[in-house]
Amino acid sequence: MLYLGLFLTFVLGFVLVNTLSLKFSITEKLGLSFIVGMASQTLLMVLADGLGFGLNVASITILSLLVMTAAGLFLFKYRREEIRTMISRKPEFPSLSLAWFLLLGIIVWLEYMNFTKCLYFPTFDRDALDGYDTFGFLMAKEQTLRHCSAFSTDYFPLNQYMIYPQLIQLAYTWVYLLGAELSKHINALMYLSFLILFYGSLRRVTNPLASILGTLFMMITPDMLAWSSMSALNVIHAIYASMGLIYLFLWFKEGERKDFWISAILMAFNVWARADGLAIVAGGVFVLLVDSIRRKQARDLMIWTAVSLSVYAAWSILSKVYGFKMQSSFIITHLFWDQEKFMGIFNYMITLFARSDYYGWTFYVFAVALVANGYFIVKRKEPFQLLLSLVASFGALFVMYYQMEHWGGLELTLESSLKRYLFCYIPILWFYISNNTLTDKLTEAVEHFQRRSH
Amino acid sequence: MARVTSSKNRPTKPDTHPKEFKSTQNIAAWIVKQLCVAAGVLVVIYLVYENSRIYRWVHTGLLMGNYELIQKYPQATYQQRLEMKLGAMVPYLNFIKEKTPETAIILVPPPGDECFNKTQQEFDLKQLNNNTLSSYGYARFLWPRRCISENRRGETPLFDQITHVAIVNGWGFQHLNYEVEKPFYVGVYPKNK
Repeated sequence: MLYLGLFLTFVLGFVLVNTLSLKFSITEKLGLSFIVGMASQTLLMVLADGLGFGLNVASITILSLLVMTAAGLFLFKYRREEIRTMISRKPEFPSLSLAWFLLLGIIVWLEYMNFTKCLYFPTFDRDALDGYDTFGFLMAKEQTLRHCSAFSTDYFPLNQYMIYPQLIQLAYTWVYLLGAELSKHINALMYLSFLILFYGSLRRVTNPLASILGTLFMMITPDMLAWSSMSALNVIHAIYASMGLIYLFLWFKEGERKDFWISAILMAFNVWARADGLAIVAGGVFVLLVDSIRRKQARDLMIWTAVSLSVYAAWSILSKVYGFKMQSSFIITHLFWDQEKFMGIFNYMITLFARSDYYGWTFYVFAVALVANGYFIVKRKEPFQLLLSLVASFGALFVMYYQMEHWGGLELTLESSLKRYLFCYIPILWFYISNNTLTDKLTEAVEHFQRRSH
Repeated sequence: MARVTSSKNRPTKPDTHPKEFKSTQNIAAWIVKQLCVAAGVLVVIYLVYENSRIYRWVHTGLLMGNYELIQKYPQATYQQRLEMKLGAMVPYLNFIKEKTPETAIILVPPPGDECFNKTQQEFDLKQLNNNTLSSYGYARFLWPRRCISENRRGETPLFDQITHVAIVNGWGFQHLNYEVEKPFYVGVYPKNK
């Protein structure tokens, strides 16, 4: 039943992605299916519980099938011709090289070991046992979200886990409901889907060699790869956050409306996974604001922001209705100046960038790429919006940590939280590294060299 | 005056490169190019591997190390795999599960309590990363039993309904309503005799 249930999640995502647009490439569709499907299914779980059906396989399956049927009818009514054309078209295979297959083999081998490791070891990390996995387990056992003992302050002390967005927890609930012994099927499938999606998104803007090299180096970022097989939410959150910004950039670059919508949807799921994802949303909002001022129209800004915040807003209202609360807010709501705190966060961030034991060569290679492409950045021939959204969301992240109470001490919070939050930026940095003007020229030259002459 | 001959009448050089040979030459050149680029990529990968301790660790420590362990114990049960990570906490939790009814409300020591630092023989209840379970962690493994941490005295009505007390390295006897004749260091007792 476990594999059937996970397949249902995949198919749900596949149908939804195709309903949004049939024009995504096959790698994008394969990558997006589980990522979108799982998040969508958690929303259906909240709905099932809210309607009084509880959290059980039957109610979730029925709701999922209803959504798939509705999407299928839509596709049949409005996209029949497009589907027919797509099916009848001869598949185009890109010209792939021996080097590409070699790199693919390395990625497959490394991911096989990572996937196996993820599914072998049960959940043991503290964050998961104190929160995500336990909440998911208890909701599955008690078959309820609203009345779950995990949210009962008579049983557990007031803490932030009680009002956290519930994407990860509900995803774990789903696999526990399906009879899994451990919840890490979610983590394993998410990371695998992410690798496929990242490659697919890179292929939109660059050649196969650059795409696969970028995917490999992004994948082996040490701390991110290590955490990808743990039950904490960080890597899953990073997937939604980073791909949301990448697709926003793709919309700016190629103007295809589907990218705008998938970006907004992934951003909504980013905040549904982790409330701190609002810092990433701020990056996207800033870029759209600049674009709105330039084009003198704010419609896209308003739509994107509304969609990005919709799920979080709905959950905030619902958690108040359900009576979920935490001890006290850890956000400082007034403005203040604390130089020691400011410099503490600033210095820690700079130190983190240099930590190759966490992020490998990511920040170093990114710095070199920025400097090397300086001329093109100035001449606006570079992926400008991507860099702008990076800077803006870093700024928002800084403000967020500055305005937070650090009950355990600033250093403890930064060490435990910020270090893993930066996973959100790793894919974006490698996307830029693989797609800037100089990398493009170099890899295109190599591709051209190895092409067959006639 | 020289006569311009049309291209039709112009004598042609004999073709010393027949089409089949050209095609074979192209294929050979293509193969050589493919091999050159693949070799170049391998050199890049090798240079990264040799010059970066952390990427070497990703391969040998993080991935290969765990993969070899998995190959060594492919039939390990869920409990055994959990014990690899949580150590002696696993048999201890299983013991509590066996000895208490599903309706039990169990008093557990607060995370980080001194009692976890005392080790009795090889029975070290700290997790490998030196964190002890919070009441959420106990709840995860002992469900449907409920577990209340000692530092929640006065915060929860369940504190007055405790039925059992976890004994951890001698901690817990002080919460029993009776004297124990032969105390042991690790286990679980009913709160009332």
